[in-house]
Amino acid sequence: MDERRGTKAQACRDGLPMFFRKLTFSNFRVHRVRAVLTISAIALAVSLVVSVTSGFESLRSTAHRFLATIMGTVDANITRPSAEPGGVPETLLAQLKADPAVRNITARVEESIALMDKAGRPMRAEFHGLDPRNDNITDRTECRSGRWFTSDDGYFAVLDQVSAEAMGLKVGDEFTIGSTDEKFHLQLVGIVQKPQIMAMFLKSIYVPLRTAQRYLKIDNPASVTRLAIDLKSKADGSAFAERWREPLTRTDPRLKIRLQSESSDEMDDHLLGLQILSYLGGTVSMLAATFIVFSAQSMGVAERQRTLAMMRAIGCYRWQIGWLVIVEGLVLAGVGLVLGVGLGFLWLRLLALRFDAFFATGIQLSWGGLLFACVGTALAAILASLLPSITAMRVSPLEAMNPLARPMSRRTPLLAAGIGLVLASLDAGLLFLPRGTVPRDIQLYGHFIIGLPGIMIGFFLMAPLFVTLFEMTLGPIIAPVFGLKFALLRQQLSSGIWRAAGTCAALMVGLAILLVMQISGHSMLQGWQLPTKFPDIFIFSAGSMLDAEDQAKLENVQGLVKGDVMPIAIASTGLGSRFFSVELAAMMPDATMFFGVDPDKAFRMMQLDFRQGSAEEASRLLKLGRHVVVTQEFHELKGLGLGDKITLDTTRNGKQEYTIAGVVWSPGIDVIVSQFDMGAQFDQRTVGSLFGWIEDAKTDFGVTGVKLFAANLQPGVAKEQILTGLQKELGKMGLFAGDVRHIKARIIQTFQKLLLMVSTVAFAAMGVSGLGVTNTIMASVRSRRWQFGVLRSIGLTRFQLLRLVMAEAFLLSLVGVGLGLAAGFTMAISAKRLGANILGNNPPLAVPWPMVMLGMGIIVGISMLASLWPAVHVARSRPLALLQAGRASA
Amino acid sequence: MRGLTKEVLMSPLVIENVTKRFVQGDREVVALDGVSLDVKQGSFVAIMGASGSGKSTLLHLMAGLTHCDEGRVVINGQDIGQMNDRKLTLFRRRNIGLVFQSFNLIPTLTAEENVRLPLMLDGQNGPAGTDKVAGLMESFGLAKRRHHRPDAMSGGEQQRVAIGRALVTDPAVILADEPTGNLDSSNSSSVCELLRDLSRTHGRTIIMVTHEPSVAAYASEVAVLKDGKLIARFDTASVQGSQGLAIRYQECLR
Repeated sequence: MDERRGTKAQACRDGLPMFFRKLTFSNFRVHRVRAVLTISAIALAVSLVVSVTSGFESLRSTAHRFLATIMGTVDANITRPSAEPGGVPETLLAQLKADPAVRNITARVEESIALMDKAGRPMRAEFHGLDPRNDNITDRTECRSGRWFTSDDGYFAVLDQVSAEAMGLKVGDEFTIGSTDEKFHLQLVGIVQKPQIMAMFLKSIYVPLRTAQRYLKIDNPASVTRLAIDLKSKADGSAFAERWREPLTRTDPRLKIRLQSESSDEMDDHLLGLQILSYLGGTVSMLAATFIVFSAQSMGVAERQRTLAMMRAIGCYRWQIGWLVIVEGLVLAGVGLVLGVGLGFLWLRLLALRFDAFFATGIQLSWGGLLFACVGTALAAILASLLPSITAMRVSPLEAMNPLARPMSRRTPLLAAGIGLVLASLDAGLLFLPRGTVPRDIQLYGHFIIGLPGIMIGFFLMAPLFVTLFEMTLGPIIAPVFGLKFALLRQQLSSGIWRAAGTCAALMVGLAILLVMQISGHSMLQGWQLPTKFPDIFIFSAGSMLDAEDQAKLENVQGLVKGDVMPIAIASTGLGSRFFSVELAAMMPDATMFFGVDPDKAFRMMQLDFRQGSAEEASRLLKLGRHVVVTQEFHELKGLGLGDKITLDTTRNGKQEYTIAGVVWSPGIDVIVSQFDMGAQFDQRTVGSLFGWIEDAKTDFGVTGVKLFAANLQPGVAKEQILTGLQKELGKMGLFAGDVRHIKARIIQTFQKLLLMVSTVAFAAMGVSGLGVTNTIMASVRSRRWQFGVLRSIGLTRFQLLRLVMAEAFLLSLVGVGLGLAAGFTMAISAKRLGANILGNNPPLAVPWPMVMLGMGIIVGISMLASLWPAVHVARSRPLALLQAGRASA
Repeated sequence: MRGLTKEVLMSPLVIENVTKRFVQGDREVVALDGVSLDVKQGSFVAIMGASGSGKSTLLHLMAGLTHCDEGRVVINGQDIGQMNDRKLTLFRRRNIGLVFQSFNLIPTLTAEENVRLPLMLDGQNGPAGTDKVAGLMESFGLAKRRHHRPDAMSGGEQQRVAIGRALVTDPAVILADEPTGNLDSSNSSSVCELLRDLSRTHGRTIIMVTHEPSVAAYASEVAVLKDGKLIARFDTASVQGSQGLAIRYQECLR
């Protein structure tokens, strides 16, 4: 043992790396094109990792800058999370100023309101009331034209450039905000220039603090929505927050103090979905590159069998042979990594040029992404080289004594296929066991850590079996299509079975990912069916709460059915993902809510699909108080049903027991939101989909007004016209109205766009795999030059030879498609089951066939395109040249 | 070394009563049947025999590429049948020089690097190795071809590079398997002369497998195998050139 260790150590000390270096680099020199293609595949995958993760980092940095711009670079904020505006008493200002740690305090009123654009349509804007004398926003944000107002009172306003343009206003113009009966006439005194991206997502209007308080009716007693606190340079923020928590709770239990770091963390939490997606995109491309490296390494080992055998014969240890293959993989990966990082930055530069608004803080390097790329590339190289390395180590030195190279074994590796089947079934084993057998957490993490890799590796190990089966069954069909005899095509792929398997697996990755994304997305959408009877529109107040008087006015608005206007009290208005989050999520209502309704009206206007209980009984029970209707997802997730009790943390009365009065099949909006925010928050979100009595919302959650209404439009043929008129009418009252079906269509459209956006991950992987196809076809052509020379000598035309190579690529692509479909559907079924087990969402499987066909077409197209060059090259070679080259390599 | 006589320990290569069987289909074939051979230091032995006589199997056994079923192969005083794969690999690297029929040079390395390969495997990259490689290249008439890759060299040159590779570690024995099998007559002669010179002038021990009497004539002695048995052994000096050797060889086979 010591001798062995000593020998190895001695060898390494004395310059054994020279042996690896010489052989590795000389091998790449000779197989330049292969090395270049393999390095390109790695570089492309690495560039995707770097560009996507650093792109995300740049986006996050931009978001943080905007956060600082909006909130100011303060150390702490005091707010009162509630559906009502205001709530933070101004009296606190004096108390806080007395704290020795405080340097400055700014009082702000912030709320969403409706502004009318020049066409008379309402548009949502953030309404800021501020005192310019001690609010440093006036220093941070300069006016493009005009100036900031100078006092905390007066009917003046400052708009951002996008709002001003949308409203058709210039400095000096007057405009109005507010409802029909109470309008505020404001004079535009300044227009600020906000970063375009921010202004697009978040339109802003700034008015003096007192004016804002009057507008939102929070001036008696005067209160604000936020106190922004600047601490002295050496003050301890945590200690300050701790000191004030108790006094604030005494004033109002709902008052919260949050440090700036917590706000940043919260924003990061909102961006987590995007961050995971950015890494996922890189992982998928990296996986495709891994299979390409594997394919290239397999080719290298297969072609060098005699060389490796000779090296064993003249005294090369097995480990030296194995290491040689691994070192080659690592060198390829290293070069690919260096080029990929550079390429990634090039992509980023191009992106920054095209979408400069998203890169307001410049290109930010993601160190995590870079580390991920480095570790991922090294791992990919090692994993991809492992099997070829073992094959190389098993080469017998006796091989060197044979005058001619022994042909590769054509046996299908059935053992590998068997192991592959077991690995691919692990996920199903985890997810399809009877409910309760495997805890949900283990299912979720097991799916991502064991299940998905198991499916990918499993199908890769089954790839040789696919190659053999496809060759046997489809070969006889494909050959005549290309005008060839099957005899010419027979065993062309299976003669280099692992080489073909690696490439097919690379092709598989893109298609499988596309399938699982598209099928899961479309299944989710298809499962989201609105009930037959449902309110026509939802009306939302982007401003103050509507009291009983306002609600009565709403009933009389022209175009609405009287008696069919249903207030929906929202118990909590915790901010969801506002901007820079996944676009879809931004459109969704925050699902962590208690929806308080009038049960009679609600179940009359909405024909909900009751899975447990009935509308009549639920209506009766809700009116008894402390009863809720839950969603089917909640029921499946928690196993709680009709009559069971759940504990809700109410804002007014602490923890209270509510009884389930019914279980309904939810339209699924909350499920869609949760898809992008899975994990710890999910339970809360599902619980959020509770329907309760509006009176409970008032007594337990302290809701005093209503911002959301469901309503029906008066019947008429010109429904669109009614809605347009109504929107303008409601806009004057500071309200928005949206047709439910339009909203749904918009959500679906946005979701599909999002789906397409995330599907670029799959398309990128397909692009990467194209390089593998070229590699494989080139190696295949190279190993058969003698055979091609003979065929050309006895009369095979150039065109026939070209078709022969193209037919092989076509067959290769079909195997890739077959593997991709099999792996994709397996993953889609697993994802559906995971959705049912974890999210409680179990819609029927919907396959978007046009997209599937597109994916298949891309795989075939890429393969054919990638094979064109080697096919043309060999077809143009003279028969003698082929014979000579073939003989030389024999 | 247990069971080895002083004579055996002193000889560069001793084969004692080796038997090797193969299974072909459902029948057993005896490739070597109790063959014994003792090779003296500096000998150049040609092993001859018809196809299937067992000459290649014997060479494989001597090279430690396969193990015998009975008997033993002792090289430089060490029974290679007792060694595990790791020890055998190291032993082969340092004690056996192999010359192949198809040269088996690494196509991606230059002639010099190919010669140097066993030293690189051993981690010897110092100036001593460099001088040794340069000396070999010079003496083999390859000084101007040292930076050429195999595909740019003639068959004879390639085989000379292969012989250089076999010699670079100063092995106890050089085993050559049909070294002229892929060469034309001119190159064949030059390679044979080189091997003879190595044996005569430099005292190298060489065992060469061939079926060509004209090639075997360069050796100092000939061992003839037939149906796995060593049937004759004679000095080439006892016969008149290659023609005489051919006649003697044919007589042995009859």
